[in-house]
Formats: sequence, C-alpha cells, structure tokens
Amino acid sequence: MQTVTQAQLFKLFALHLFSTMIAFMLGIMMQQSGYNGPLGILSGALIGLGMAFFAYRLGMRRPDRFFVEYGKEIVGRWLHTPLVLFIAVANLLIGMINFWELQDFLIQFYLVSTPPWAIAGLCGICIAYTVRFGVNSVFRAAEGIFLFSLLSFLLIPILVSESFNWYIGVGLATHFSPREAWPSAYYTSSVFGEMSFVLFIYPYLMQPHRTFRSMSGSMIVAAALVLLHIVPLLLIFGPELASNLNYPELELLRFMRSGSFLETLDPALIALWLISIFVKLGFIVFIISLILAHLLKLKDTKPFVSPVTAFIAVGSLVIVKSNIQFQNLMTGGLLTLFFASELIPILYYVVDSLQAAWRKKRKGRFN
Amino acid sequence: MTAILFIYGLIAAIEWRYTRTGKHNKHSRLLIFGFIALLLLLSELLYLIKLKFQLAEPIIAIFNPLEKLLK
Repeated sequence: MQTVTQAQLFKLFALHLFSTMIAFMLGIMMQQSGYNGPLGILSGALIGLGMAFFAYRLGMRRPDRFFVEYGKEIVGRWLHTPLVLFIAVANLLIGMINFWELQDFLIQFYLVSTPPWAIAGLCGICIAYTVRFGVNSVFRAAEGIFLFSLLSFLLIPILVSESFNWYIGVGLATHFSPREAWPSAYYTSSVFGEMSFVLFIYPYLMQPHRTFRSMSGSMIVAAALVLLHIVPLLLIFGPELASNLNYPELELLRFMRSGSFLETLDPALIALWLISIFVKLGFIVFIISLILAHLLKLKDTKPFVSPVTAFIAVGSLVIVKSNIQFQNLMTGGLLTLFFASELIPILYYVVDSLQAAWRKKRKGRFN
Repeated sequence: MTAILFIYGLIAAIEWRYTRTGKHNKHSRLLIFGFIALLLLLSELLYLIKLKFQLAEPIIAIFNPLEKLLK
C-alpha cells in the first residue's frame, strides 16, 4: 500500500498551495490588508503549518491505518461520522469554489462566450480520469508538472520586473500593522491548513515520519512563491488598483513588455497553471472519495470518483449566482468553514492524548 | 437538467461495467448505485432551484457571524 514518496507529497502540496493562492486569492489579500498582505501571508503560512502539525502527530500514532476507520475509536462513532462528513462537505465546497473560479477566469479572458457547463464538463473529465486510476496517478501528475509549473511561476515576476514602480516599495517597507495583516493571515492559514488533510492518506505514504519535513518544505516553497507574486503586484498596481481587480495575477501576466515575443507566452503559462489546479482538484476529489468509501465500509474508492467529480462540476454552476455573491461568500464565511474543517484533526489529537494519559494513569494505579 | 441526467446515466453505466468485473458483491453495488442516485437527485434539485437558492446563502448565514468575531 505504501506507494507515495515524500518527494511526491512535497510536490503535490506545494502545487496545491500556491496554484490557487496566486491565481485567485491575491486580490482578496490586498483588499483586506493592503501593504500588509505579505506579512499576513507569512504569518498565515506558519499558522497553517501549525494546524497541519497536529494532523501529522495524530497520523504518526497509527501510520498504517486509515483515519476514517480508527477515528471512531477516539471520539465515538456518533461524533466521528458527522465530523468526517463535515470534512468531506468542506472539501466538496473547496472543489466547487475552485471550479467556479476556473470557469469565471477562463470565460472572462480566454474562452469568451463559452457556456460554463462546457468548461466544467471538460475540466471534470480530465480530473475524474486522473483520479480514477488511484492515489498514485494524482501524485505522479503532481511530480510530473511540478518543475515546469514552478519555473513558469518564477518566470512571471522576472518578466514584469521592468514595470516596477520602485517608489511604492517605500510603502511596503514602512507599513507594518499586525491588525491589518490579520485578515490576510486568516485567509492564508485556511488555505495552508489544507495540508492537515494528509491525515487521510497516511497508509499510502512511504517513510511517514518524514511527512512534516515534506509539508514544511511545501509551505516554504509555496509561501515564497506567493510573496514573489504579491510584491510585484503591489509594486506595479499599488494596493488600491490591485484590490479592485478580479484576477490581478492575470493582469500582471498581461503587463509583460508588449512587443516582445514573450508577450505570447501567457497561454502557455496559463496551461501549466491549469494543470496545477487539476492536480489540486484531483487530490480533493480523491480525499472525498476515500472518506465516502470508508464510511460505507468499502475498500475501493474508484466507483466514487466520477459521481463526486460530476457533483462538484454541477455544484460549481449553482453555488453562486454572480461575482458579487462570490465576493460576499469569500469574505463572509467560506474560509471560516474551511478553517473549522481543518481544526477537526486537532480535536482528535487532544482527545486521543487525554485518553492515552488517562489509560497510562489507570495502568499505573493497578500496578 | 436532461444533460445532468445523461451524465449521471453514463457514469452509472461505466460503474456498472466496472463493478460487475471487479470484486464487488451485491451489497457494495447497492451502496455505490444508491450513492450515485443520491448525488443525481441533489444535483437536479440544486439545478432546479438555482435562481431561488444558492449554496452560498446558508454558508454566509452560518459562518459570517463567526468570521466577524474572529476577524
């Protein structure tokens, strides 16, 4: 069963974290925190890693068993089932929201006047096809695309560096307010905290004791890349303009020096970035399928993959009515829902630790 | 709506072929197809009432007060 290497885990989580953060969330960060966005991202990444640490500690106690199966021994079946279902629903919503953003973004810029269902259907087929072949397929996809994706994301700040307004840098260097940075830190931690879902795939991991090291590596790479994109955005657009753009990252891509042959590079970069998002969505679909299969006491996750992907695709068409409602959702509760689902492993860890201490005490009394 | 029905029908057909050849017994097949039917019903329902109700509404209603407290 142990087929996923730590290098693959590192690459998947790095892609998982930076692909959607850079593409979809930078606008919200700047809206909420302005010049303090980078500070918020750094602290949020650390909080997210802290949340994932508890999942790692809990997973290490039973590395060869699935969390959905042994969780009921910790908190009892009646609490375990709704909690795990809540995590599955949170993952479904992550999938739907990312799918919606993907459609909205492609329709606005590249596939103008294409019906959303066509985009949802085509992307859904790609994701379902990847995940149906199992966990290895998702992780190998991440391994294959990681280097290209990383290089493309590193290339963008270099290509736009000629347009930097360096005087804005003064604002970046002089504005430090933890109060302003907190909303960004909160949002970032809810994204980086998604690493705590590693708990569900422990039996697939080779050398599970090195999981936290891989997650820390992913966090450092992802946080550095996000910073490498938010700082150029601030230096080019300033916090006011950037926070009013739906997809500031794409505007940044379009800012590449016109007339150069690199101007036509953006579809290639977008294609690489799309695959990164497919990998992220693939991992999410796999987690949901795994939870459902184990809750129904089935070993095989394959039959759940296609219906779950179809549900995410349909859900993405109906989750919000308009862009305004989407903005309200993103700043009005959705990330708190994700945050709550990522805190669940901490609850299990605390209860498990208390039980272990109690058992030890009782054993000591009888001896 | 017909398209959703068609897609889930196609998925059910694929899974039917898969579960017949694999290690699935009658009970697990029932669970799998029950799950597919449930998701089909939910998808159709959400699509039918998409102008009156969006999934975003209950999320905002429940979690927005909590988020305001934390932020």
